[in-house]
Amino acid sequence: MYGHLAVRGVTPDFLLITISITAFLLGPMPGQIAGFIAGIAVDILSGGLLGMFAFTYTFVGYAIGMVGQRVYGRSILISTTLIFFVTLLKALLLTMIAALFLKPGYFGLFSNGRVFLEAVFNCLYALPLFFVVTRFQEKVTE
Amino acid sequence: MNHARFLRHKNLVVFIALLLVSFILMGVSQTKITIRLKSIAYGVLYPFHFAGVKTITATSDFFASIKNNRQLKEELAQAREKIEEYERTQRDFEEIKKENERLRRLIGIQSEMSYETVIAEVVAKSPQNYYKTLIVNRGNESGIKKYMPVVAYQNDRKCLIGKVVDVQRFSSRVQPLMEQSSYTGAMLKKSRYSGILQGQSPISDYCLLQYIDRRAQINFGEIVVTSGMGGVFPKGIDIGEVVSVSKKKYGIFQEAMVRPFVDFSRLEEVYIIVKSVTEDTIKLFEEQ
Repeated sequence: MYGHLAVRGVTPDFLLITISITAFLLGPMPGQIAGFIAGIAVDILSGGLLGMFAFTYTFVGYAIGMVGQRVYGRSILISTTLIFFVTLLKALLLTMIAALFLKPGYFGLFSNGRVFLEAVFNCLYALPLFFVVTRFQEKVTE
Repeated sequence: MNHARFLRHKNLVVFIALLLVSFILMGVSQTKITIRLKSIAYGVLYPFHFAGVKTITATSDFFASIKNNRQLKEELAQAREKIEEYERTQRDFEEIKKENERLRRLIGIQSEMSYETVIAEVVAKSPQNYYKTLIVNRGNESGIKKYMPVVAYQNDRKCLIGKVVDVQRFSSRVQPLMEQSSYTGAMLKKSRYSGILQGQSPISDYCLLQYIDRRAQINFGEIVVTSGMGGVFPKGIDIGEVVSVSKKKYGIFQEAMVRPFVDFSRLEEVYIIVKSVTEDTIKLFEEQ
């Protein structure tokens, strides 16, 4: 879908970024619901194991929402750092689910530094997006 | 009291409920009814996905076209030259084809069997890094049916892509060779030893050719083609080349790692071979 943004075959995960920002700014409930809906859509469109991305994104939405509630203010640095770690969390969850339902090492996510490259990508794309969303939120609040 | 407790812990309760639903879905993912429901849901989501992909592509194309205006003009001029060249080649080709047919008739060689194909545009690839699923803009309306083989032309070579696994009215989903659940009857082009080609992982660029007779002498770079066994893929379509061979000390078979010829990242158009698959074959696939 975002083939033109790919580097070494890895593209940023815009859904993860959107879910993370939603959860960070609005809390765990909108975060996990957004994660579940987005995950189900990915599962259906990918033709893969139904529920796998729903599980992963729900987990991510809830986790970021909980952390976001405990962080004072709207720090762009904290949210970006969180996105780096939830990308790794997503890979870990997918690897575990794949080992359970598909085949161990099915995605090979931790080989060749794919996950780390995706995590860096996600952070880079999250920075401007987070900035725009927070500014927009501030304007609406005013 | 309970209601108050629920409100206090509602985030956690909803979180556990959603995880539970996801987990149950994973458990029933391969049942017939779930596959059917998934197919219906895919039909509902497809227009939105398609619209999203088209919007992103159009936006990126718009900016790219502004940036590369001069380059586009040069490319246009080159393309025009190429079209003229192709038209000349086409005329020559028609002449050669006629001559070839006449000669074939003369020496009594039966024409090579060719299949009717439907050209389809790749309109979307999987929204994640972890699948190579392709979505093409041809479906029931164009006569596409489940398990029809899909090929593409790349570097002047006809290469196997995979097979159609889900058909909607105006779109179909193609399962590529690399998917773990993809099995293809294949053989070594030179030595004619056959085996079964299995995908390894959607992010892997390699497939594994299994159950090759131990006596087969396999060379690095040897071409692997479809064997025609299994009733889905026609015989003789190029798949890839051998990159490594694994022969254990004991056993009657050996294995070879195969790198498919097709480069999925450059795939824009594919050809769906209009070839009916027998009911028995479909049943076998459904049972798998």
